[in-house]
Amino acid sequence: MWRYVLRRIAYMVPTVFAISVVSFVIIQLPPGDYLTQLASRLRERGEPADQAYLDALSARYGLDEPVPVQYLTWMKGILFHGDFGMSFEWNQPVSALLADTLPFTIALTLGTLLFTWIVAFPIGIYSAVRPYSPGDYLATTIGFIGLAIPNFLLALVLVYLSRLWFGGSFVGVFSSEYAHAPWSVGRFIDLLSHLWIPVIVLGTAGTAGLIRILRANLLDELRRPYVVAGRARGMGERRLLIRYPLRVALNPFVSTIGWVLPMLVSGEVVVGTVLALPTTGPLMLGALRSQDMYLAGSIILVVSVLTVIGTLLSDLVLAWLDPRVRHQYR
Amino acid sequence: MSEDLMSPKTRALLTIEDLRTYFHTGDGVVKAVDGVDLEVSAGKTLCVVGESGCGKSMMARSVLGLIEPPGRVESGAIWWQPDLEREHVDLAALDPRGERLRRVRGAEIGMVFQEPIAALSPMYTIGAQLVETIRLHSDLTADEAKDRAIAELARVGIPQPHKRFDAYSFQLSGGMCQRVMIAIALCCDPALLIADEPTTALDVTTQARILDLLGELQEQTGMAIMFITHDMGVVAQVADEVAVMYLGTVVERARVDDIFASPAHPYTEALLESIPSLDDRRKSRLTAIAGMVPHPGDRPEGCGFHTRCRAAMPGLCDVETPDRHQLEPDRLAVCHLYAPAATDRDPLATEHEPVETVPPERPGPVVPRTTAGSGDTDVPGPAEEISAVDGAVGPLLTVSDLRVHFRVKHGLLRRTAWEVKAVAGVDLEIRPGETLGLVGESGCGKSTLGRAIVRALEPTAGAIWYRDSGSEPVDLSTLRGRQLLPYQGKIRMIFQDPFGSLNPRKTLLQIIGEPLRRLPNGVRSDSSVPDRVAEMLRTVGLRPEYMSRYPHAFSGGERQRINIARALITQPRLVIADEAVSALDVSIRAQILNLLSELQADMDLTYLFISHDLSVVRHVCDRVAVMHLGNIVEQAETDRLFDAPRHPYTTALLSAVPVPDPRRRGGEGRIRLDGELPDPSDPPSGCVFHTRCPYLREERCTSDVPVLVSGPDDHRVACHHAGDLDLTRLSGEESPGRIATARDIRLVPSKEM
Repeated sequence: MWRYVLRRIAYMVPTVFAISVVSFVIIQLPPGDYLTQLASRLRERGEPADQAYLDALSARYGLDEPVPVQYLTWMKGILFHGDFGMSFEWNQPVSALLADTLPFTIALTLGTLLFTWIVAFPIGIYSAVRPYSPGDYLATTIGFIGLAIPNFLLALVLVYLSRLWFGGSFVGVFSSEYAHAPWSVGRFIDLLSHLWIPVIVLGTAGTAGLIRILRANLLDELRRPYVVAGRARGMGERRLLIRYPLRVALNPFVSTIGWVLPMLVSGEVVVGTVLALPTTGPLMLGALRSQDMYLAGSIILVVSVLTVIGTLLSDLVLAWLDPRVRHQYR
Repeated sequence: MSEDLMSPKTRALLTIEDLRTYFHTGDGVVKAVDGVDLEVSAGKTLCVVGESGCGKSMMARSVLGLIEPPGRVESGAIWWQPDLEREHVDLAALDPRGERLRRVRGAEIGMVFQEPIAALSPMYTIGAQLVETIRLHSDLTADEAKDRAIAELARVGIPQPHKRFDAYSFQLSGGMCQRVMIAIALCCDPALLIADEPTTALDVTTQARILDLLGELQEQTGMAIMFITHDMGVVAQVADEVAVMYLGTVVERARVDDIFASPAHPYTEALLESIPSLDDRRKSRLTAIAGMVPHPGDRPEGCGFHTRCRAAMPGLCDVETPDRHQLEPDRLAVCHLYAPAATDRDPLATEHEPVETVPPERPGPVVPRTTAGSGDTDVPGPAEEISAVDGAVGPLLTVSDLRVHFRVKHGLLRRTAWEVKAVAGVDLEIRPGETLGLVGESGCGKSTLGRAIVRALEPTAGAIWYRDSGSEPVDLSTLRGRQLLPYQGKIRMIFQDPFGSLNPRKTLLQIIGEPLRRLPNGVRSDSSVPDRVAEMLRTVGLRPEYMSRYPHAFSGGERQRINIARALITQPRLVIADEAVSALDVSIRAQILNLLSELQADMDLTYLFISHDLSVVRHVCDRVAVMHLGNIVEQAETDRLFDAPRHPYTTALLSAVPVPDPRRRGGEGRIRLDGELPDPSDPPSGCVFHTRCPYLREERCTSDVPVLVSGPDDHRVACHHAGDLDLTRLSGEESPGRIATARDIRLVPSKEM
């Protein structure tokens, strides 16, 4: 088992390396760089750019170096100094910007994952154990609606409804009185009262998908000979269900850790913009627009690494849960 | 066994009265079990036989309340009385999810299923599942239950039960899993064991050992067994009483000797005739039951069997449901043949020949055995056989030192960690017009060899020389890609699984016509393909109109005909039939085997017939090669190999085949192989069979690899001691008392049967 863990971690290294190269190259793909953007913006304002100033900036950020050298400089900074470079646009270190937004993004993602599991688990089991019952049809219908509605639309509808029913604004993370206050119980409750909208918005599609997957998997497992065999040796229905088919059907839940993360990040860009959330999504969107390459590259890198770690975690949990996986990769 | 056997009338443990289990589907009511009456006596074995779709399993599941929606037990009673102090319980009246029935399941009645690996959960160790069952029905602590579980594993003959306790089902072989299932079923000492086709998915050798085990356990515990099977050979080996089921009803019930000596119902008789036995004369035509079991949803009027019955009386059998007739105290048949007043009831019947009514004391053969085209015409006579064998004609295909190794990659750098030598140097000749049998246990490499010959697999080394009449031999193993195309039409394959081997999204026209389009100078014009496909469909006994249908519309037997049509459309010379009839019911199997032998004569085909079923091989093959762990260990003409085998492995395989004759059961003449097939990635030194060989000797067996040596009459054998072994002896020195006669091992034809 430990060899399996070590090997999986070893496999991560080339994956993360490849991701970092690809993300860096993709950022460099559009013609021009941050300085050409800056120069054109200055020209628009009617202040002709000072070539010496631009050259100085270029030398300072190493933009006149060939791309591989830029990459190496960037990576060296990350690996040895935890320095992700400077954001041109914000004129701040990227690490400071990430420290502002990343914890909230991770908290939001985990909250959404939890929400997805808590809702999908009982509904999925119910749908499989009582297939084609009214409850199953209801869950199926709601699930399909959840899959079909785009996230941003759901976000707008929820914001509108919450305003209508509860009054007040639920956009952003904190109400104005808590926005800059230090942490307190009141601030935490305020946070929760704002958080439920993005969690529902981000989690709906995943929940609906997971219900479908759990239902299909469990229905398949319920027809397996070992279920009949378990019944034939006198096991009670509830115990039989929980011990045998459900454990096999749990695999997709664990796998979600891997595939929900990137899905949340991409969905979160739109939702984060609509709901004005201080997450990495809107930050990255802005960085990509202005070719703020170190910021955009760093966000893509961090999110990718988190996804790879999530996949590793789900694989390890899967190996721990399912002896077939464990014994195949001894 | 106990005194139960001696007493003239044993107590009924389980009595099923007029049981009906229906499935309420969207297309109407399917009567899976339609009025079954049965009795299982304490300590006895009742065999329930019939083709698939006859409701055997549904009947057995009804007993334990295991029918799942939309099915349910409609009416009838299942009286259960495990011991005399307890009163009768009607299991059918209990709540299927209730506490009372749950106590019966596992504790009073144990059940074993067909697919042992699938019947165990892969998520828990076998020990955990065994302990769970024990604790479900007793008050033992976890530690006591574990001790008990290990004892149970030891009792069912699992080696190293302490270690195996922590194994998962997917780490064990099918035979081992079935032992575990038996241990689980018997751990609470049930009075009755229901075994639903427990050996159908297993090899002959494994089957023999499981049947032995069940017999021993029955002797120890005195339990009764309800044994469901479609294999008459198994029935003859294990049954005390037999119930024959057809379309949800019991059509005949009798003691096993009576069933085999003089079947009363035409269906029983037909079932018995369609088994190829080891005693059969080679290449005779099998008597197949016409047609197939109708779907229970459209049960024929009157007697359900009349559509396939040779003795059907029009106007009676297709109108009136037959009554039950008690022929003897413990003998019963449901057939109009035994109705004394049958002729009075139906005026039309007077026009028929008087039906032979059988006096109750001595039931003879019911129906005069028709020689339904009994095949002398299309079978090569002895003279033709000799011409094929005497070497005047060169071999069609010569395989020399063929090796197929599978590399198992391992680790970060995907290095070859070890090699599995699936085929480890095979020499084989296939002569034009013959049928060469290739037999062995599963995992011995016979399918791999077949696939390497059609070049579906890349051989690792060796040559495959193909020589068509009048042309130069070609080594197929050196050809690549397009060079192979001309030969792919000449060598074709028929696959085992009639359901998995046909693309469900293509019509028969596309499926059967496809190989034609692949030929290098093949028919590309669309006009002639449908004609040839129609012609081919007619040849294999299907209607040309079916051309535009999809495979799902056909039954297993019909699909196998489609498979044969696809193989033969290119007019091949050599056809490799890889377990082509193994997945089929007895009667359908007989139809397909007859078709194959007709086609062989008509189209001048050569067959390589790969099978684990020795009785079928004996029936259809001219010569047989026996394979063990990637090597051919013996090869000879069929009769010679079956009558006088010279390799210990061959004798063991032969003695594992259940003989469809209840008088020849019991231990005599049996050799049971110890252990499983060795791991092909780590074969034993010397003779790879030495770990299982009952004749193992110190000299050479463990050190030298034996080679295939040609003996008299082209009888080849790979055994160091073949010359001086007396294979009529039994399992070596331990049991000098149990010496089998040559008759036992050779299984000489018994004409009196």
